[in-house]
Amino acid sequence: MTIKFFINKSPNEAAVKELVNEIAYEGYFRNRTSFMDLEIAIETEDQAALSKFNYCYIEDLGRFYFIKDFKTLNNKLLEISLKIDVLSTYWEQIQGNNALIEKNELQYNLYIKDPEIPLQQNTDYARYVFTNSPFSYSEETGWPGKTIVVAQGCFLGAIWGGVD
Amino acid sequence: MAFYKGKVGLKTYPLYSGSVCFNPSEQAAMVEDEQTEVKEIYIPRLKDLDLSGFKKIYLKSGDYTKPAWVSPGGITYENNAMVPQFLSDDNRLTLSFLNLDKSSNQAYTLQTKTDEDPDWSKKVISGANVNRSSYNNRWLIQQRPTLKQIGTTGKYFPNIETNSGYMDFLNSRTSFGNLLDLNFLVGSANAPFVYGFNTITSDNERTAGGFSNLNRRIYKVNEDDEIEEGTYFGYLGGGNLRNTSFDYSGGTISAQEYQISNTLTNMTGATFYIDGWALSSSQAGWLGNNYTGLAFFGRNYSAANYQQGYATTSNFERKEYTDGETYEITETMNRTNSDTSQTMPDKRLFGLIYDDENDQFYVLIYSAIFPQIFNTVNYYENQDRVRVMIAPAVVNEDLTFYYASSVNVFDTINYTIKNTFFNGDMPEPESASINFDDENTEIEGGGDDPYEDIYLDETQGGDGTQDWTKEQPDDGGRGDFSAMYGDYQKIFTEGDFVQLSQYINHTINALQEKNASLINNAFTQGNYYPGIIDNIRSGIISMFRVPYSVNYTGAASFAIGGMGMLDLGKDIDDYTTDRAGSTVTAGLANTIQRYTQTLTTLLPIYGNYLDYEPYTKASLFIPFIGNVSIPINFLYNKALELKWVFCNLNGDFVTSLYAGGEFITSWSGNCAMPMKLTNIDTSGQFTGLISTIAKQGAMIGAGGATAGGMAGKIGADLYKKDPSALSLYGASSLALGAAGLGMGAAAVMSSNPSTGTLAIEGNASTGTHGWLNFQDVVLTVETPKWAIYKDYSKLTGNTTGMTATLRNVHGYTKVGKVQIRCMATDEEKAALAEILKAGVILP
Repeated sequence: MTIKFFINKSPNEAAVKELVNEIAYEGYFRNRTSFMDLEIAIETEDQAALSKFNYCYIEDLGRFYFIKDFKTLNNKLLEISLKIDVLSTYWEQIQGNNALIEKNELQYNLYIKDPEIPLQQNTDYARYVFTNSPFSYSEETGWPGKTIVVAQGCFLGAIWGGVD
Repeated sequence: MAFYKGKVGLKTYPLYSGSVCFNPSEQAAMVEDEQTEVKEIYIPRLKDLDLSGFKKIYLKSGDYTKPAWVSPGGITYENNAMVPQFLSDDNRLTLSFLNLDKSSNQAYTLQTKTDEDPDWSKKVISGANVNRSSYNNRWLIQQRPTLKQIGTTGKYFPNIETNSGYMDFLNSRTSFGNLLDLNFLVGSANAPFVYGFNTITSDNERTAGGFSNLNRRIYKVNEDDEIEEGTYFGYLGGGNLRNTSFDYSGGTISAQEYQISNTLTNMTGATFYIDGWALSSSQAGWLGNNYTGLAFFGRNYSAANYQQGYATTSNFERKEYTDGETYEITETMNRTNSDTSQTMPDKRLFGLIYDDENDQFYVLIYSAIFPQIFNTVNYYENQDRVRVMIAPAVVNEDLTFYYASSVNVFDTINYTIKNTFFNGDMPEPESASINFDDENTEIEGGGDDPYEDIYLDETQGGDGTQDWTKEQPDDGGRGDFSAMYGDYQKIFTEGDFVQLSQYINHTINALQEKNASLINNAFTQGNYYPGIIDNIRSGIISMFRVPYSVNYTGAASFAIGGMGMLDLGKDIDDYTTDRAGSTVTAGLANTIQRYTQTLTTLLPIYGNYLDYEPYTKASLFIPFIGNVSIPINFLYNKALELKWVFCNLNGDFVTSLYAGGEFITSWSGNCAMPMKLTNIDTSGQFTGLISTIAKQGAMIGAGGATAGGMAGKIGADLYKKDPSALSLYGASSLALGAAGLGMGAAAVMSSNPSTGTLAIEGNASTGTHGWLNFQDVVLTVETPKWAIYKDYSKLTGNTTGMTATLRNVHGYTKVGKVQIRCMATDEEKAALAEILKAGVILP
C-alpha cells in the first residue's frame, strides 16, 4: 500500500488542491480502522521532515486525507492522525451533480438578500428639499397666498389683498 | 491528477495562451539572462503543433548595446523592448522578434533559430518603424492554432477582407478557447505615412506601408483549428471603434436603421463598450455599411453622445472546454428582421471576455430590461437609462474592467481552462522549504468582486460628538420664522379690514345717503332692507387665507341684492331687481386649481437588494400633511411628481404622487387659514386662535390682537353711526328700534362666531398649523450602511439563486441543497453535503 504525502498549499475548502513535495511511503494496515478518521504509524528516521506534510493520499483506499496531528511513539515511529477530505476525494465524481447554489464568488444575483452582510445601525439618509411647492416662500414676494371670501349666492369668492 | 497549475518554463505563463505582460524590471532581467546564455522556453499547450523538433527555441545571444544589425543611429540597451511572436504555419514554428526602441519609435529585429531550422538569418525581421504606444513594454508570448485552412494572400495572411484603401498588417495572433484573435495594424494607403511599417508576405519579404490603428478581429476556430467561415466577431481597439458617423442630431431614426440587418453573411457580432457616460459601438458590418441598431443611453438623445446600440441577429454560441467536454449555450439574441415593432425584446445578451492575466474566460450577461430603450418614437419621453452593455463579441484586453464596471453586469460566469497538459518538460518540484507567509498571503481568484470598492472602512464610527442640529433639512432659503410671523400679521392688515369695512361702511353710508329711498314705503314695506342687511350677514359664508397663488380674474366686487356695494348710485328700488342675495363676483377664475410639482428621479445606490424596502426607506414631508412614507420599490429611475389639486372654496387639497407618469398614491389636506370677522374685540379669540396655532410665537398674539382690534374697530366705526342711522328706522320695529343698528349693522359684525354666519370659526386644525410649519416638500431617503468586508466575495460569496451543475460553478461556493451521487459511503456523503453547504472553493 502506498501513501503519498504532500504539502497542501490550498485552503482545505478547495476541491482541487495544490499539492507539492510529494513523497511516498509503502506500508500496510495492521489494525481495523475507519476510512473516515484513521491513524497510521510510520517508521522514519526523520520525524521532523515528515511532520512538515499536511496532506496525503492513500492509493489503496482511493481517498485524500488531511493530516490532523502527529504523535511521536518513539524515536523512529511517528503516529499520524488522518481525516478524510471527502471533497477532493469525490470531486471528480460529483462534478456533474446539480445543486442549488446559495452563494458564489463569481456568479451572483445581488437582488437576493444576503443575510451575511452586516448592516450598521447608523443608517445614512439623504434629503432633498424642493422649494417649488405651491406654498414655497420667496424672499421677493413672500408667500404666494391670497385671502378668499366665499359668499352666498354665488360660487366664487373674492380676493382680498393679503401680502400681495 | 493535475495538481500542478500554471508553472511552466522560466516564468509563469498562462496555461492557455493569451498574453503575458511583464513589468519592466522582469523584462530587463529576462533580457539580461538572454545575453549570456541560451534559455529554454516552454511553450504551453502547443498541442496542435508538431513540436517534436521545436521543444527548444534559442534566442540568439547578442550584443544588445550595439547589435550588429542595428542601423548606425543605434539604440541603447536600456531603451529596448522586445516583442517576440510565435507564429506557426504548416506545422512549422517561427519565432520572430521585434525589438522596439523607446526613444526613436523604431523597431529592429532579433534573429532566431530552432533546432530544426538552425539558420539564424532566415527569420530576420528588421527595420520596422513601430508606434511604440501599441506595445508599451510588453512581452507578448502568443501562439495560435495551426490554421491550416486559412486562405492566405501572403504566407502569413488570412484572407480577410479589408476596408478599402487600408492596408492591414497581421501583427499578432492569439487564440483562446475556440477563438482566434488577430491583431492588425491598419494604415491608410492613401494618407501620408507618418509611420512606416514593414509587413511580411513571405520569408524576408517586406512591403512598406503605413498604419494608424490597431485593428483587432476575432474569429471562431473550429476543432480542426480552422477559421470558420462567417465568424467575424467585430473588432476592438483603435479609432475604428468610436464611430462618429452616427450623428442624427437628435432626429428620429427610422425603423430600418435600428433593425439589424443580417444580410452580411460574415457579420455575426457587434461590439459595444462604454465610453464614459456614453454608449459607443462599433459597426456590426465592417464592410462599410452602417448597420446599426439603437440603444438609448441617458435621458436625452443628442448628437454629443454615441447612442447607437445593437446586437446580432444570429445566435452566439459559446463552447466551454472542461476536460474535453463541450457545452454549447445558445442564446437567442434580439429581434429578427421580421420584427417590425419598435421595442426591443427583453433578452439577455452574452459577451465573452478573456482575462489573460488570470487565464480565465468571463461571459458577461447583460440584461436589457427596458424595452423602451429601442423606442425611437418617444425617445424623448424615455427617462430610463440603459443599464445594459451588449457585448456579444469577444472582448479582450481592450475592454478592461474599468469599462465593465460602468455598466450593470447582470451576471458573470467564470470559466477556467483546465487543459493542463503541455508538451514541455515538467517543471522541477519546488523547494521543500516552504514558508507560509500568512501576513502576505493574498487570496487568489479572479472574480469580479461587486463590492471591491466599498470595503468596510474600519475607521468609521461615531465619537458621540455629532451635532444633530446640523441635520435639519435645508429650508430652501425660505427665511426664518420671524418672516412667517410677519407675513401672518400681514394677513390681517388694517388695509384688509378697512377694505372690508368699506363695503360695510359704504353700505351704511349708502343707506344713509339714500335715506329717502330707504324709508320709501315701498322698499320698507317690501322688507327688502332687512333682507339686504341679512344678506350682508349671510352673504359671506367664509373668509380664509390660502398659501398658494390663486388665480383670479380681477378686483372683487361685493353686491347685495344684485347691486354692487361700491356702485350704489342707484335708486334703492334697484335692489329689488335682484333678490337673489348678496354676491361677490369677479373673483376666482376657478374653483379648482391644479399645480404640478416636479421632484426628482431617484436612482438606486447600491445596485443590490439594499436599495429596496425594508432596507431603504423613503418618505415625503408634504406641507399641510406631514410626513408620509412612499413605496420606494416602485419609484426608482422614474421622474417623481406631486400633482396638487386645490379647492379654492375651502382650501381643501389633494396631492398625488406620480412616478414616471403613473399614479402611485395620494394624500389630502387643508391649507386654509380661517379669518374671523366680528365687530367686538375678539383679540382674545384671535390671540387664542393664533397662539394655539403658533405656540412658539408671542408675536402671533400681538398680530392677533391687532387683527382683533381692527375687527373691533370696524364694529366700533359702524356703531358710531348707529344713533342717527338707527333712528331713521323708527321704534316700531324692535329689530330697528332703540337698539337700532346695534341690532342692525352692529349685529352684522357682532354675530356670535359660533353661529358660523359671519364669523369664520378658527381652530387649531392641521391646515392652520401648516402655516407655521415647513412649507417645502422634503424627500428623505434612508439607506442602510453596510459593513462589507474586504474580499467579501471571495471569502463568502454572493447570493445567486440559481441551480447549476457543480462543474459549472467556480470559485467560492455555498451549496444550499445537492443530491450527491457518487461512490462514497453514506457517512462520506453526509460529510460531503455538509462541506458543500459550509462553503467550498471549486476550480
